[in-house]
Amino acid sequence: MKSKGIFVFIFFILAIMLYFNNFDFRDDKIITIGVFTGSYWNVQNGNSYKILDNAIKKFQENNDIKVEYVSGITKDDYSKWLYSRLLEGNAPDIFFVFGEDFNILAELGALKDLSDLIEKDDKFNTEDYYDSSYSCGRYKNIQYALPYESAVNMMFVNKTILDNEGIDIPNVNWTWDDFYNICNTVTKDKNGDGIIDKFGVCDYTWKEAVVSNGVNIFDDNGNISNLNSDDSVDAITFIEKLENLNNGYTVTSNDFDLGNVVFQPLDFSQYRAYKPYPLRVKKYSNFEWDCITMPAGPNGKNTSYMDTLLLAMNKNTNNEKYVWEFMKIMTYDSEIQSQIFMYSEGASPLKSVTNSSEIINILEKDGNIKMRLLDYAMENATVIPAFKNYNNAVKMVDSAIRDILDGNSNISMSLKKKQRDINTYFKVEN
Amino acid sequence: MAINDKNLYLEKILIKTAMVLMKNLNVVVMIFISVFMCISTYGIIYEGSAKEFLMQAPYMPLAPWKIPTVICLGMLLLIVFINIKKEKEKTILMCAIIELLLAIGMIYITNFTYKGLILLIFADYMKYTIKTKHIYFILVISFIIYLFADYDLLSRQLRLISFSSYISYYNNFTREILLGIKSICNGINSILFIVYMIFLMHNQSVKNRYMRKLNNELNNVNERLKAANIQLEENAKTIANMTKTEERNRLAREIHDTLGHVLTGVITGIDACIELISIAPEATKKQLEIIANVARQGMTDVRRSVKALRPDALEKMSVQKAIAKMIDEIILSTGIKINYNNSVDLANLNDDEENIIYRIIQESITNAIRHGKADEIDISIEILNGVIIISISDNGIGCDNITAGFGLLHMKERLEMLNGKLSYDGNNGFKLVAKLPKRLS
Repeated sequence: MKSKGIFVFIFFILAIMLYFNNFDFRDDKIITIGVFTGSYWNVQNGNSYKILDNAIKKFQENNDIKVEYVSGITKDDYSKWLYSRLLEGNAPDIFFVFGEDFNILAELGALKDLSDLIEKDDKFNTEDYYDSSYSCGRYKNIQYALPYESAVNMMFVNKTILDNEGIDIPNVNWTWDDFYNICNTVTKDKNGDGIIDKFGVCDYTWKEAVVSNGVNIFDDNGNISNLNSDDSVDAITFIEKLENLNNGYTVTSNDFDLGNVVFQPLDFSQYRAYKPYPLRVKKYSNFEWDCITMPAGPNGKNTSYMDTLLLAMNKNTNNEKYVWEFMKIMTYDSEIQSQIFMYSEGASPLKSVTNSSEIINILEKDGNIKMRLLDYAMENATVIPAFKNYNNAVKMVDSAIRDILDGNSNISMSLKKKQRDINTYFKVEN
Repeated sequence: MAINDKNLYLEKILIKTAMVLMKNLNVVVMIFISVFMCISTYGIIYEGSAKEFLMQAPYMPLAPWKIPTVICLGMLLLIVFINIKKEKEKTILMCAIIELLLAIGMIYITNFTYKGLILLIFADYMKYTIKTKHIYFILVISFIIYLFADYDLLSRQLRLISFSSYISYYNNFTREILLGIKSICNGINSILFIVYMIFLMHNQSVKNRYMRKLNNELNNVNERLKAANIQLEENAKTIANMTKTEERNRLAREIHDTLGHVLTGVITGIDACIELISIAPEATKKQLEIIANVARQGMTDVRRSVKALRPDALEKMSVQKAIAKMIDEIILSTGIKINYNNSVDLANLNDDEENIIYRIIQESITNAIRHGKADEIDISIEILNGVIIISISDNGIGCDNITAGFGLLHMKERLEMLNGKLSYDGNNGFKLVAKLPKRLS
């Protein structure tokens, strides 16, 4: 009898332990969402919760579930807020994930593996997304998040300078040679004070150059850097060539704003924000401008990096089914997704939405946005490699290349040495 | 050698105390660590360093409040398992495995900050080494776990958050105090473990010595007992011989007293008759009548003497009943199975015939039990053409070379006196067949 009592007691404790492990003080009838106010793209936006509210309304048409979110968390605070909630163990069922946080959260195991849900769902076809956008939510070959809104890097062009010089706007397939030639032509001392005052390009860095020459500096695990390959040497050499045009002057984005620079790589969202009417007046008011693809290197394409705002599911959610439904409404529903073009500045990761004639009509009428160009850029975008230490690694490469460009040493040799250093860093970190 | 009971008792108390202290210390340390992890996590959250903390963490830790909850329940369970009275080998091994799994789970949850739990389990199972040898397997495993359960060794493979990541939330002073407490607890646990082990080992070796001593004494006593037994058997033989001699003397006396007396009288009387017969035939006739009376009297005396040698049982009841009673008594006293099958009416047999039948059955059963170690005996008596056939067989060890002892020889002699025959066979148990021609009385 006594031993029976002990076994009942042990069973009881085990049951409690199991219960605690999967237990959160959550209501089955409520889904919570982690959202932020303001634009992900750092531009002004007055419609923070508009799309979300519409999505909730649409979701509740078919599901008797409450959807709650904490409003008022700014974009700057959001990341910190999310990490705190995660650490505390009371993160929302579903939350937005910034591109730069995605790798860290996926590595931590805070996000739900969506593979099963995707596979079981007949009404969900991953090919409806731009491949580049969709793979932003992939980490080590597992899909942890769905793309909500994407923006690619594009080349902004000061049309006024080009018109004055009698140069045509480059076409979609332009190359480094075209790029260099234009820069070379326009860089001059216009007012004759002995100092160069018109420039070719600003903010065009190794990152843009390397990717458009077909180089992946990091492999998917972030273990090896491909820094001293011939193609990246070409890219760095090209950057050096461009910088040499400016006679040591560092061109900034302020120069571009003042209308003295022809090219500047900028996010597509900037274009979306400042091209339509009222805001157009506020920025870039003294020159005509447009955007085009990035120039292609000798061994690369007209490609650039893409940043995507993702939507991920909490690994510990106990409302998986409804959360998935809601996730789909947010990221996969063309009605909700098309609102991105009305209330936000990114582009929809859904091909059908970004290419729909309705959207094209609205936008092209409004601000002359070349949607075909956007489609091209999205199709050809390069995804930032997904590994946990990516941000650190980029900083290291950044400063390494800055050193090389500022010094006089042989580029290839120096890159080789820097690559060794970075590999050592990864070995220690991993 | 007298074992020092007082010292042994003190040692026992010390061992028990060390165990109790170890258990309490481990409970306190584990709860302290888990509460510390919980509080530090909340501290990190409120300080706004959650992002920095998680960025260097290799995995999502449990929700802070869950850590102490799980550890408290886990420790409760572990202590219950340690305290369960374990007798059977299976129970011991099962409990050991469950305890080790619990300990590993809790050590994992607390990021391998403290591995003293393994020592506790190791110490606890040391005392079961007497009960089962398999426990050494568990001990070796826990030893290996203890060796490898190290944060620095496993942090890469198992993705752990180091104690120092939590501790870095505090200022230098607190940090030092916390680290100090941690290493002191570790130290105390190790010391308790060592004390426990030393005294347990000593205690067990003393016990072993004591046992060995007892064993030796037992062996000595056994030897002496064997010698005494042999002596006893010899004495019994002597007594049997003496009884035999006594019996012979009695017989001699009896013969002398009765037959001798009568025969002397008869011879004297007949001698007188020879002298007298020609002189006084009438007187001789009278004299012969007297002699006949004396001879008859002698016959009665001889009968009496012979009766005195008869088994008591036959004296009191019929042979039929006497055999049944004897068999019942043997079954009752030895538990041996005896199948007795008699199809012959033994009611009107002569005394000597009754005697021999009784003696043969008695002797055979005795032989089967004593020499054959049999536990089943078949006895049957039947009659064929006026010959009584007694067959007795047993399932004992039998014997290859039969050396007829006193019993068998005696049986044979007696049977031959009555024109009977005895045959026996020692293969497959012992089988004996006695044939006795029935006399008409």
